[in-house]
Amino acid sequence: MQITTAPPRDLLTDVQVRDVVAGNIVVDVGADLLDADGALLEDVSADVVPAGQIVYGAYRTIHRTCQVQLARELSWGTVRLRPWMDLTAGGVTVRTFLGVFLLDTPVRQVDESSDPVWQIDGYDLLAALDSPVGATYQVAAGTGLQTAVEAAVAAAGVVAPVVLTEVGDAPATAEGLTWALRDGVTWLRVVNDLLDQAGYRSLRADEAGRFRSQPYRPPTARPVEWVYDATADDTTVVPDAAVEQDLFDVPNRWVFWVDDPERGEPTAGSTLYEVVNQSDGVTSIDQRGRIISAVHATEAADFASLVAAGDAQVERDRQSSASATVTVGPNPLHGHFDIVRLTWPAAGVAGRWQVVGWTLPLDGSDMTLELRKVDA
Amino acid sequence: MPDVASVTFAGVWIAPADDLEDAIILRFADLSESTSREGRVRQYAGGRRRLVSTPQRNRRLKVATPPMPRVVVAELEDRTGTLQLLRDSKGRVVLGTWWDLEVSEVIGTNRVELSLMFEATTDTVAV
Repeated sequence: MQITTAPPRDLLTDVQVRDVVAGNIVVDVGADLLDADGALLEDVSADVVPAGQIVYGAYRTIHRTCQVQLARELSWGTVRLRPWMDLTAGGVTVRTFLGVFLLDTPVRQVDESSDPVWQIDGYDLLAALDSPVGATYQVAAGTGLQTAVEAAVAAAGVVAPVVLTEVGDAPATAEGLTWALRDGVTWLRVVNDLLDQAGYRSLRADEAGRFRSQPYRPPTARPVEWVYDATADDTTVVPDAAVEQDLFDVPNRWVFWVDDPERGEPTAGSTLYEVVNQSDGVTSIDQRGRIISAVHATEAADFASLVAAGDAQVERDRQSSASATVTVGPNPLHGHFDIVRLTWPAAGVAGRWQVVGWTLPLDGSDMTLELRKVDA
Repeated sequence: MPDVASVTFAGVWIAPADDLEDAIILRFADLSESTSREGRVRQYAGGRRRLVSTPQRNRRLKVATPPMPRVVVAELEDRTGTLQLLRDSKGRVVLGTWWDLEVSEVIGTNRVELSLMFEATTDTVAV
């Protein structure tokens, strides 16, 4: 989730923001026009048609996309658009940026009875990195993670801040890394390889157009950021949901090994890591009565990276056993891999869920959340 | 300093944006800002209802007149959908147009009461 009291909401309290989202709201949308360096050019809100949507998918290459309508023509190829949504209730307005988007060449709708409207597709700033490197690219041994990521972003020709949480002086790679021309890698792949080596999440572009990443932590270890309680007086849960529980292919034994002939046969404690779920939850060996193994070859640089990547995969597999799609009132604060608590006895739904996708309509309609169960 | 008579004009003045001399003056007309919103009552789990509304993007001004000759209505009908400059005695100046006129007969007279919704536009014009 976006931090409730982060700018431009820094004059509000957390309670005020949450009360507004749950209140009788007036929804307004607008947009700022930014230049290629992210600097504010102009407020174009008067030309934003309150239609379209912002779509987020945690597992998509480009996480956020937007479809917006503008009643004016822009320099589509050079500017960035930062849509925002205002929720107002009880005299308090909560403004939320919805992302910074690169714009595709739009479709112009022509209707003689009204002014022209351009329908625009936009892609978050990861799209700027999703282009081929076009050369062999190397990161020298000992280069710091922050330095290495910033260098790759700059080499891709993208101007945007890079914010890596908890990054220290540790090098991104102890032995140096090389991406060969023939592999056809993108800048995004280079950056994500660097982050993965260090146990960081894949890169994301946040609501204000900053590149961000932080050390991977399993959903079970992260706090609940928002509560959707269908039994509360101020609930925003729409009584319509699809809940699915699929246990059939969920592993209860995982084997991770380093696929590098130069490092010899996989050896436990250095190039081999095994996780067994004997008794924890309905997918455990004890509950299923059989062993379901998943084997993953990796390119981890060391055992710590192998364990980190392995644990992340285990968490993903275990949480994928239940999914749900729910509709809630507009909450533009949703972000990347949010953790929510959902309480809905009538639907048989409870506990912690990770948000892996959401769609926010810009006309003030309710939004949909795609959820994966966190608790086993 | 000599005494001067002051006259307060109460009303609304509407002229084509490209011909400000051709004004229609609606004496004693009332001009009010519309604060209407498009609102919907939505239902949530447990039967909770709440109002979710979206504000009107364009400024809207409601013009309502006292009984007036039909000829004025005919002139205003001719200008429907054309760019007009509206001014009133409180100094409001708005560029825009209207799409519908509401006319009510005043029984026993040859006059009508008129109302229209003046919608501001973002067009620019030299005045």
